[in-house]
Amino acid sequence: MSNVIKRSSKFTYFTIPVFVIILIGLYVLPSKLDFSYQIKFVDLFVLIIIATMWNLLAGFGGLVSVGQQAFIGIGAYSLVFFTDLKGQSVIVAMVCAVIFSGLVAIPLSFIVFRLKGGYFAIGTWVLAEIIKLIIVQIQSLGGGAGISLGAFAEIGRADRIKMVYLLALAVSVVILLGTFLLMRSRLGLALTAIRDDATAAGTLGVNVSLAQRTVFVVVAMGFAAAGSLIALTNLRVQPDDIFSVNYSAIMIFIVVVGGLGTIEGPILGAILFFFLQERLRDYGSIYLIILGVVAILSVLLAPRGLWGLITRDKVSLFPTRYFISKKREG
Amino acid sequence: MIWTNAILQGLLVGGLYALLASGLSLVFGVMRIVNLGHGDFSILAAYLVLIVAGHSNLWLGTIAVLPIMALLGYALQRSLLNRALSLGVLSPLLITFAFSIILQNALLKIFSSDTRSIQTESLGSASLKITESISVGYLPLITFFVGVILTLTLHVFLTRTQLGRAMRATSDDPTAAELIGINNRHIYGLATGIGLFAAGIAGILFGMRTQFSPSLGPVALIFAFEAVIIGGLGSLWGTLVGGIVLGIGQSIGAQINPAFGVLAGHLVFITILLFKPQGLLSKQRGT
Amino acid sequence: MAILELENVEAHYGDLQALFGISLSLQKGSVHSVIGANGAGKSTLLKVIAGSMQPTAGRVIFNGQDLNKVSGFQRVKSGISLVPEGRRIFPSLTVEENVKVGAYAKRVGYWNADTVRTLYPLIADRWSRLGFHCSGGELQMIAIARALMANPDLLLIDEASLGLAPIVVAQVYESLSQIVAQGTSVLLVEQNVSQALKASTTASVLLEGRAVLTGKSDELSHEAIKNAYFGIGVA
Repeated sequence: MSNVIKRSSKFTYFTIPVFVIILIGLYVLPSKLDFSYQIKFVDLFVLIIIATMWNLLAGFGGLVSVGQQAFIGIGAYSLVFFTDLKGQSVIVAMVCAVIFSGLVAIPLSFIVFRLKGGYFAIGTWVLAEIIKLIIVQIQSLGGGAGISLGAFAEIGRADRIKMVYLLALAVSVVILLGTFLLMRSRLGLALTAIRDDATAAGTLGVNVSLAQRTVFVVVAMGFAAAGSLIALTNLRVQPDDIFSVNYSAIMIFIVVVGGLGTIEGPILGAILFFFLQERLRDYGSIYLIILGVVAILSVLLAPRGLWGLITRDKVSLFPTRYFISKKREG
Repeated sequence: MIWTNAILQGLLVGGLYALLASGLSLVFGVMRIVNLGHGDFSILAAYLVLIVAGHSNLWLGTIAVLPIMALLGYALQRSLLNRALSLGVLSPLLITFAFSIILQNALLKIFSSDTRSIQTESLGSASLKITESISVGYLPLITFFVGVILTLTLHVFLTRTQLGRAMRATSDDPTAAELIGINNRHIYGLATGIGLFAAGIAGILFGMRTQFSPSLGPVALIFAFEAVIIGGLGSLWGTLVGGIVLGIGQSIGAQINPAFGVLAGHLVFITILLFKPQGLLSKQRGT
Repeated sequence: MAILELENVEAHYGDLQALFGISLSLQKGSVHSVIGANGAGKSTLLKVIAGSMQPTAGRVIFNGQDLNKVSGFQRVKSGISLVPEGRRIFPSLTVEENVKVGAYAKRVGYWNADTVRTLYPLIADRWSRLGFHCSGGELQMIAIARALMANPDLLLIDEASLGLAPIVVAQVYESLSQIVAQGTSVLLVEQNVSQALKASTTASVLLEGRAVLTGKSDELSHEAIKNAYFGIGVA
């Protein structure tokens, strides 16, 4: 017998068809459901996007940030800029917003990578605050009061929401598959090595800072996509809301409780959070307190998250690791 | 003259920032934990004083609240954070961030988002006239000196006392520290206790001179953090200098344009980060 | 009177067993050396006695007290000090501070900041130097001095001569007699067999986690030790 290294787990044959079926179902959904439900799905998709991105940064990249709302805000404002002020179509505007966010992330990374660990986290928070302060100065973007999105003025509500829904679905799929493929790539391997021991990885030829910077930029683009979707849903962007640190609280909660470092974890966490939010929305501040307490308990008692708890690390629907299996010779 | 005044005011505010930052810096120095809830704990102290002062008087309130903050720090470290330390670098960060969220929302729930302040009768508005056009408030002056004294006290504590030495030893090598009889978990608890004690002093003095609300915690954290980075990691005196530089930066910025103050401070911070990332008074240690 | 007794002590690293049924008795006021090749289990043995590691079976009895529930840092207060392999001096503390922090457990006795400097004059020379800047030999003396500051009844030294120049090794071993004279018993782990035997009253040879030879140092033959060390003719 010899050992064979495989990249797919035994669940892959199960995952792929199920995933396709779910996708088809979600695609067909708008024709079956009222638009108020579609909006809820968009909320869920946005949660999945920001959680997956934060997980890529922290769970796979080892970079804990509490300032990613900076890029949500940049994405939202960029979308308004490119549609209303530059007259582009929604999809083009979104692509521009995403690219712009990625470009902005490059110089920002040089500033913020001077810091490590916990100070890196605060640094990203400071960056978010600075960006907010700067944007609030720009009168053409609404200043402190915020700005409304006029792009959909001519389209009816039902059509608008259907369009946003499909866009959100498409973006989610792209992000999930993109993250999956990224983690299976050489970059993904490099990231895992860096997360385990950055110095050792460096001596093996991994360009640590380039790998981390790449993730930082890619993730910024993902958050910008989420921000654009939020702007498209709410039709209004307000600085205090879009740059709120509560987004960080939410994405961290989702990933920590769902399962850090896996692709399935953030999806599970987002679904869980989504239902919690529905239940607890009316309780205001208390629900955030409960989230905080649950997060602490999760970190201490279930470090692998809900997904890890349920599957005991034995199930991998989106396998990013290597598996060894024995194969008979001859 | 306006500029001299601005610089002076900035200097005094710097004392407050240094006060805020020293607790953050100490905890990081001893166990590499950045307490993301540090600012919220300082605001908590201000609110606690409000409660106690409401029933008795202000000075009793201060004397009662500070030990409570120290005990709270010790308890949180020993019950939650020590455990998180053994789980990796992400865990303590996530937990202290959760502290921040919990504190802010708890305070919001209990006190609402209205701004409050700690009444100090005459002390709050009294001022000392230095020259014809420059006067300094007693409160900012006191705050500044408290900041300097605390920094000095911490310095003496860490360098000249056995417990301080033990703390630095634990920071260098926790395993070796155990070999000479040091109980690491206890030392970490003490460090956080001292950290929150300092945060408490800062919060109370802050609450006496400004209106505060639950959302000010993160702002306090950001200023404390900027002071630490400007001054240099690993240096207590650096934190004092960092606080002063930040305060002066903000003050000069505000003099140019009232809305520009905080942003000016951020720019100073970013400039230092880009051109002298080790900080102004950096002390690169052996490890 | 026996100051330290080990009864059938066993230790594991996960599934790997490092110590098999070790029994030992150390008389008060004597020096006992534990000899063996790399990986024989010598350091593990010291860790179990010092409390940094829990035995999976057996008992460690110190001054008549079963140390079962006593954690590592508490054992210092009880009178056991370990000078670890690699010395582990605190790099950001000066020599003076390293020595002084050794008295953290606050045990009274002969050893203080002055008497350790008499024992090791070299330390006095380097008093204000940072731990980070000290050489191997200096580190060893500082580490022993630091451990002595707790005035232990039992001093454990792991790899006393590893990586040190012969002249330094000689100085370290010379100091042992003074340490014992002040009332401290010593358990010494060594790869350098001749030094270890010269300095100790009794000795054990460890081979793959088992004590294969024990006896009075001056009564153990060269041949017997060699066989035990390398596992020749041992069942």
